[in-house]
Amino acid sequence: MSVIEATAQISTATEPRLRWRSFLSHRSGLIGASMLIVAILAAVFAPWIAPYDPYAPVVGLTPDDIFQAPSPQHLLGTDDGGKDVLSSLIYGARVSLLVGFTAAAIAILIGALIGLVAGYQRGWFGSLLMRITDIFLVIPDLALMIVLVAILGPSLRTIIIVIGILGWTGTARLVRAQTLSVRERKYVMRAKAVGAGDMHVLRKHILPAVLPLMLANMVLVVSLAILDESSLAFLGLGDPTVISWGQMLNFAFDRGAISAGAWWALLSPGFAIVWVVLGTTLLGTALEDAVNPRLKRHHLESPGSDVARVGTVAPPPPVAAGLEEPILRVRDLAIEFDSDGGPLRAVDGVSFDLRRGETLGLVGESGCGKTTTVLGIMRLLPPGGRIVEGSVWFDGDDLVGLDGPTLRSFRWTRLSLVFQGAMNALNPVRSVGDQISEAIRLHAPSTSKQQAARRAGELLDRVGIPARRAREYPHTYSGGMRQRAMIALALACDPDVIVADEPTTALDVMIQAQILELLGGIARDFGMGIILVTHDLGVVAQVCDRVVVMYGGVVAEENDAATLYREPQHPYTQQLLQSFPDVAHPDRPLRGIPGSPPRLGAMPPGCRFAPRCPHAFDRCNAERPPEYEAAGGRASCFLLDPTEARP
Amino acid sequence: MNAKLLSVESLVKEFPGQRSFADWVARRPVRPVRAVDDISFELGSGEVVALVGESGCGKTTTGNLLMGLLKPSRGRVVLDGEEVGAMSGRDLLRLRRRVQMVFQDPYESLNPRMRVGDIVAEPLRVHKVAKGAELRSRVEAALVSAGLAPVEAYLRRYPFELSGGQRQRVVIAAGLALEPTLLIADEPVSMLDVSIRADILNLLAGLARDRGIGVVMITHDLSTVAAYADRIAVMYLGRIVEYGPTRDVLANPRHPYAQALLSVVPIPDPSVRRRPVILGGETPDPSRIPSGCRFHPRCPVAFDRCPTVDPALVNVGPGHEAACLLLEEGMTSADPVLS
Repeated sequence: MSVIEATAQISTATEPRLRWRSFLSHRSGLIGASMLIVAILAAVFAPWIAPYDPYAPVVGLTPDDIFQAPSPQHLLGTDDGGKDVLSSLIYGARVSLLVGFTAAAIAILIGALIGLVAGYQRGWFGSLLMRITDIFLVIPDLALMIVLVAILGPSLRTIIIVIGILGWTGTARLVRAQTLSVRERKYVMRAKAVGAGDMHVLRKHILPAVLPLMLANMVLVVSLAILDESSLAFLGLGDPTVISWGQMLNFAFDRGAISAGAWWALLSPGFAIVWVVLGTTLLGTALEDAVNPRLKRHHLESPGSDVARVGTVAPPPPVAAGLEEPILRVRDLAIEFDSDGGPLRAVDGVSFDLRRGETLGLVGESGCGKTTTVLGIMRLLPPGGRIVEGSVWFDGDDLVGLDGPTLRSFRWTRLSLVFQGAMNALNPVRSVGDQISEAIRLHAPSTSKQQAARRAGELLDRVGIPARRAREYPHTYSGGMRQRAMIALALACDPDVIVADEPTTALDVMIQAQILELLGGIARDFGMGIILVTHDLGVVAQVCDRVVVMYGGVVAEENDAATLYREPQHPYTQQLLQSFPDVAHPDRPLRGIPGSPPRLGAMPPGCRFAPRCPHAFDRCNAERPPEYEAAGGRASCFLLDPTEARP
Repeated sequence: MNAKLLSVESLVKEFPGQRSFADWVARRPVRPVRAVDDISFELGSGEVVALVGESGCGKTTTGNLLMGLLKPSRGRVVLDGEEVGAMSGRDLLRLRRRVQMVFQDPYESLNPRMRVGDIVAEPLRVHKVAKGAELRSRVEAALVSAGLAPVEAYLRRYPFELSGGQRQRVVIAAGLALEPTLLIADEPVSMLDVSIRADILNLLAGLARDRGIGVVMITHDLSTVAAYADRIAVMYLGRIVEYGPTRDVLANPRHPYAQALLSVVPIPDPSVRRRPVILGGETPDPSRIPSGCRFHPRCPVAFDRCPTVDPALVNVGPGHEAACLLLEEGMTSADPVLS
């Protein structure tokens, strides 16, 4: 549950929409935009800034005027007709940009219309449109353009139309994909259930979701159109009555610029084309990132270390004589996640012990840090997350201080994990038996293939899957069987501790009962310690010996299960129990807790529960409560402070 | 208060089955998938009825049939004396104003680009029932009814600025804007945090009690409906196997499936020691419904007649029915067989 939710909290909106702040922080995007603006300004103000008028007839042309090298009079020299190259370049921007923008507008319009219809209207008509799109996609654009322009005659209008009607395929595919995904969204279904017609759904729900993508796409289509126009003009298929950059290149090539060594006549228009195309590409890429921040993945690019703890930590003092030393001792664990607004502390000073053969419930609501805590213990934090304080003592070793290889030998042989979504955690292209054998052989390389396969069969048998199904692939398993297979996988190397993260969430109650019975049996038979991460107080009551209740990244209360349910000490535990439905007492009124759990970025300064707590007083809002011993366990609440004279 | 609002009569919904290439070669007939198989129940104004069952039991299909989103293969859904399945066009649009749905996932069922005010106003705009000042006042009234007050704090917010519970309240407010007579809530709290669930359930129950709205709650979780439903229908493979007042069904379940289902619902009290009846295997594929009693392959008390006779619902108490041959045999209780 919670890592995904934690990251979702960091970047709240995952829908494509334009995030201006994200765009403005994109340096290359700003550079691209500036480059494009320079070109546009040049085009708009050409008559004022160009030193000469390239359309005016040249009077009194002398041979000296042709291919004149750059000079103070002609900053970029002259061309074969004795005209000022700089002026032609500035005027050329008008044609190139005009063609680029209008052709792109046509392409986007056609592409959007076809994409919308094909995506929304899933019937035969939609498929037909997509097949047409596919055909257009494989036609070599430039060749067809050359043919069409040659047939229709090279006028500016023809060129714009031809580029426009051949450039829509990319947009159509993009718009269709987005439309398809939006039309399946629950809010569209809800609008339809209310009685909304197609036009309403398209206008209010689909178009707003598609437009930002189209905007980003538009910029890229513009650069393609400019390139197309230049190519056509260079090949002599441009409108001969106007000056464009392609046209300038064409004339320079045809009329001896190379033999005259007039590099300025060639390089200048080439540079202009590169300038605009580079500008639009930079801008387009930045817009795409701003529309869809997941493309950027800046957290993944610099994974860094998952540990940022300074120095070493002394192990906790041994437990009282006569008691068994716990296999796992978590001390003051603190974990932070990177976010755009600085590090966010998801887990802040969590401590607890786990003994062999004990089942510990780690309970809390979404965002309380329970999953992050166990991922930290396993040293499997997602990129951007790191342990900043505390230690995890496993049978005398501090897991936080271990290096990669040592850690890998620890994982699975001593400490293994059952994930929440079993389908995502099993490899879909390998048989279940293979995956279990692989885990066995990875950690005990001396095991033969046959031995590993036999052991995999035994393990599957233990979790209630017939051994013959070891050869099958995960997709042939039902949800409950996949979770059983995950448990078999976790058992593969006979670990001391299994961490089960919401192992029964999303399963039916009967399957949940089967899985819980299985886990209970394993804990009993193998004498393993189990940490069960869940939000379900009923499940915890049923299978756990001890319970750690987490809230807002800290431990609110810990006690043995029987006492915790009978005499909850922390107001949060008390209220949580009152809000939890009990099928055995249907007449008991349920009371929700007002407010909602705190967000990662906005933790209350004092006690994390204070804003929702009915007993909160001044001190709760100012100070963080330490852990007090109470009812044989511990709870962090000032009400338990003996010096507080409160009821 | 108890005027008959909704009656479901022998409702059947079949979907055309998938025909594989092997089926085609072997000329096997296509097996239709019978998602809902002859179910009947009634709902009065202000009542809450819960359809409870595991995945594949047909509860969601039933919800879609009630909404008129699917046409029944046989049987009828009658709302306020009008048959839902026979409606089309304008009538169906009118039906949409009276039946509203609350979906499971409040994160997905709100358009992230729309403000709360527009989301709640959307149904009113679609049906063109109000505009201007009246639209605004109806939107505000709906938000208040859903517990989102003061309305000024919510009208201009976007969904991502709200918590899960607040989002589900927005969904409910949008459902209430058209002042429906029937609300269908499909797993309304399963995606919400535990501490929030009770409030949403209290809200739905309050709407039924105070405004006479009928509520059909669809869920897999018996414990969430225990305190809220007037009646419970336990479904298994498209059929209602037990139906009755909540208190009776929970205190004295008569069908072996209902007994097993109840026995595995986790109870938040470690001191309660129960003997859970954990059924083996999983619910069969609805395209291969077992012969006779559809529950017999998993039933702990099945006997020789079960694979051949399909039991009908029989009366086991006032308004309490169950479909099991053991009950037809005239046995007073199925409990002794189980223990």
